[in-house]
Amino acid sequence: MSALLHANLTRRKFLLGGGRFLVAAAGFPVLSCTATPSGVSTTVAIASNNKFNDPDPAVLGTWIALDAAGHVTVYFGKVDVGQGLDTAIRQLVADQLSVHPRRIQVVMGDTALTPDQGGASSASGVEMGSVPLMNVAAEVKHILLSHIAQHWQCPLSSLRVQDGEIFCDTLPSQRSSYWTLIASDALDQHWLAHMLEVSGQGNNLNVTGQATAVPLAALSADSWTGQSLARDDIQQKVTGEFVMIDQVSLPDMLHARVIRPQVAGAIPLTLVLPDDMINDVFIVRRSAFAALLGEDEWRVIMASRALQQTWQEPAPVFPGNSSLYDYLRNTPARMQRVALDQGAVDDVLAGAGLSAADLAEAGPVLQAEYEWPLQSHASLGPACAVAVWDGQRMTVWSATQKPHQLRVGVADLLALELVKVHVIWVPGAGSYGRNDADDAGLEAAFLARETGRAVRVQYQRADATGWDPKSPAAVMRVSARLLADGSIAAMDWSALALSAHDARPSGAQASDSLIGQQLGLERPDTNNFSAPQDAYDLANRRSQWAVVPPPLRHMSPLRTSHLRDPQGPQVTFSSECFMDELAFVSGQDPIAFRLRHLGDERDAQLLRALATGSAWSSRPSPNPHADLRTSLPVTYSRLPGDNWRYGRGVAYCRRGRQTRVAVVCELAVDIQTGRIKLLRLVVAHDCGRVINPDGLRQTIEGAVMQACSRTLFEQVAFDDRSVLSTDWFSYPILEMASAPDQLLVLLLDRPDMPPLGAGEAAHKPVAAAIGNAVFDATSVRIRQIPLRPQVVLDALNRAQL
Amino acid sequence: MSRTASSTVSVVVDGLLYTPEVDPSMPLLYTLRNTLRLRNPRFGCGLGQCGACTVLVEGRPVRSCQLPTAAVDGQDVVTIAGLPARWQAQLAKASDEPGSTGTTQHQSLHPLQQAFIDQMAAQCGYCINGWLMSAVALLEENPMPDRDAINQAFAGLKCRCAMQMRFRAAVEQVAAS
Repeated sequence: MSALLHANLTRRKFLLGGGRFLVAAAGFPVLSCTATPSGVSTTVAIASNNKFNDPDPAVLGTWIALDAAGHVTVYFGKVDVGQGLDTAIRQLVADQLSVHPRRIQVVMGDTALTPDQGGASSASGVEMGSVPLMNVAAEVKHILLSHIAQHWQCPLSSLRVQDGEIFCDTLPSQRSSYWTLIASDALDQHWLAHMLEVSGQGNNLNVTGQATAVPLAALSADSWTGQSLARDDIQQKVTGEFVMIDQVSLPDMLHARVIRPQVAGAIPLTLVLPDDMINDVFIVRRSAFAALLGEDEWRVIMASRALQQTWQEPAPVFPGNSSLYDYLRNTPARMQRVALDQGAVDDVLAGAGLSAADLAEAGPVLQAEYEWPLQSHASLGPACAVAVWDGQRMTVWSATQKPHQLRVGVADLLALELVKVHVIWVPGAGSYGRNDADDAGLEAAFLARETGRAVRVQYQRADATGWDPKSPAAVMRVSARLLADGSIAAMDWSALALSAHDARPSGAQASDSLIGQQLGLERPDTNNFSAPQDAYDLANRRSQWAVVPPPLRHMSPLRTSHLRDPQGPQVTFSSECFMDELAFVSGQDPIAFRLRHLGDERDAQLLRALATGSAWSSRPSPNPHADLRTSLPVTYSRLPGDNWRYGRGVAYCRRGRQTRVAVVCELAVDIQTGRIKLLRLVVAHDCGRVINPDGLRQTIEGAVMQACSRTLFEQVAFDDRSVLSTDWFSYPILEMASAPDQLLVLLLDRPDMPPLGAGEAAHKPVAAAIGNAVFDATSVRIRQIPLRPQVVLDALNRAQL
Repeated sequence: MSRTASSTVSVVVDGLLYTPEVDPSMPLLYTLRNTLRLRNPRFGCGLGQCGACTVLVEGRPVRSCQLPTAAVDGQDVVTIAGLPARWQAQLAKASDEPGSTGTTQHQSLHPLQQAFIDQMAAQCGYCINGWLMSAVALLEENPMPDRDAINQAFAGLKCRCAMQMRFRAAVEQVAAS
């Protein structure tokens, strides 16, 4: 089967073959998963004897290949989920290697070709993932120049490289290039077998050689780093040339449709196909897992609709979304964790932790509770995966964010040796954590082995929105006391939440997948939530969370996992709305109130830049002229009628390894309908050194707009036995008409600082900024998400009573 | 074999005539993807709620996951791959030049494709058919749409990466030129 060719290719053959790396058969479209530019690579020398050896990060040639035609290929153990990560990588490598980025191709996420760098994880692609690649590029440059220096009898320091062309300051008549050097016999043919020092693993994997990468801060002004290099993939996407997972097609392939129960936790008793379909479609059933397969995709879908089913249904276990928060408050928590503890806040809130002078002036305990619902990952495309088993080896094509980890999960599920599993990442519909891709990959692998055929699993919409991992719900309580001068004496934050690790963030454990559980695997308890991240310098502060067990432990459509900036929106909605509430009760401007508590000048600069950049007028909330559109600094929208109230809100936070972000939201609330119209969002963003300003702006914009969607619209609906939000009508997300008039991104470039993650940070403060703006506009504080019109209207009506 | 009776459907896709034998009730999406192997239109929901499967049928944006293949018998279908040719044909018609064949030879991009590139109006790109085809149809009917018209043309389309601002900017870029 020619489609299997590439799986059997050794790295040596692949590299010798040059050209595109193809999965193709006569008459079938060509799938180009990974590619080297044309020409013969020099990395042939490092070919492994073991046909399926894992890429060894200690070997230079694992990471990079150069050819005589002037192409560079880097092997990157992360993947791009839509934000142009590979473009930033090309820029960073180009500067270390002194070549034009157009020469560089980035191969991502193929477990046979790329080292395990943890996959797409925690916005670490640039911040951490680029580090070994820059070191490798510097090492290659060093090796090639050392050879030239020896050959030309000149000092290494006299050599310069411009787009791969090599010059010598002291020998102006001498010229060479990387490419002529590689084409010649001069170079030791084993030069890419050069060994590197390895440290860390996963996201932290790094390698170092003899050379040192040029620090970004020391790059010249004309470096590629810092320029808005255009992404190549956008053109391919608008012309239809870009290959995605749903286009992977193998000869002799079966289409599969998995059968999910209507009632959570139900086990299939009988599954019977109508007689007129049994020639075209068959059932694979193992334990509680079942799927329909056939050669005609539409026929399989028709069969799934006609399938006669009986199920053994468990007693209803879900609280229903109207009782979700009571469930969180009343179910005994199974783990409590103090995430941040400064001083003795319990005592402070009681009065004992303060000095006598402070105690005398400390105000009463102020307290509020915030509620965040379950939300669906809701990737635009339901998961798709293709797998084939040749009797020896399993090959899986998947849009997983973590191909190396899915490989471990497939080996786990099928009890295969790891070396017999090959996972090839193919771009799919955007994911922002753990969506349904890993489930589909595991199911495709299982069905491929069961049938001995190539199998394509394509989820339907309800399989995706209904059964994908959910972002955890939480009830968050914040308490504080203020001193007479309006500063915070003490603050206590706590959350009761579902764990973000019901399904851990990678597919490495089959027990965390639906099929694993349907086949009887028990998953362990895994506790994960988060606490506020900011630079507020409070003498007395505690943040802690507790995890509440899920209502259904296995095979649950409410299983929870990571969705973009995991738990950040939940946590920050509570902490940053509460900061606003404190500013309100003490009559202070919300930005000034935050600034007086910030203990880091970099964070303070960010907030001041935001105030200036958004033309923020200093005043306390609520807006005294909320009925006037002109009470906001910029107005674009013409909103008819007198029902609109105008307001602005701010929120600030940190994310992960110190990315700082703050956002101002300006909006209008229709007090007759409860509808919120976003007018303008202004984001100030400091993620250190900016690699690609346009790309960064687009990344931030997506994070902000997706957060607007979660804030205004998104909530999983479920009753006592089933998830009810299974399509785009029952699980609405933001559409064009709800987008703001304007979105302004202010980048605070820090050329002397290392780059930090950017894919998630701007997602974090948006809900709080919107909530604060609603208060500014209406004088009504809403501590509940989503801010759908009925929620807003109910809150306005309650406030008038 | 008790399959639904097949019948021959005659349809022009991106300038080429196809006469597949298919179940006429099968949605056009599956005919395009699996029978004709034109896999740009994507499966997003199968419910007509997202737009990932959108093609132009006789110039109108249509959710191909909802349209029985029989409904396009004798009709003209355009996918995003056919947009350059569609644009060239319109230019040729406008300048009254003969010789436009409407086939998809190598041609420059449709101005909206270029505007999407200029505005970086895609992240993952899975949804792109809906936004791009709806934008093309909008501007063919209304070259100077205001924001209400844009909202209306894009109503129902989904983008989980949330690039709405950029889709709108791409339309406004072309409208302004």
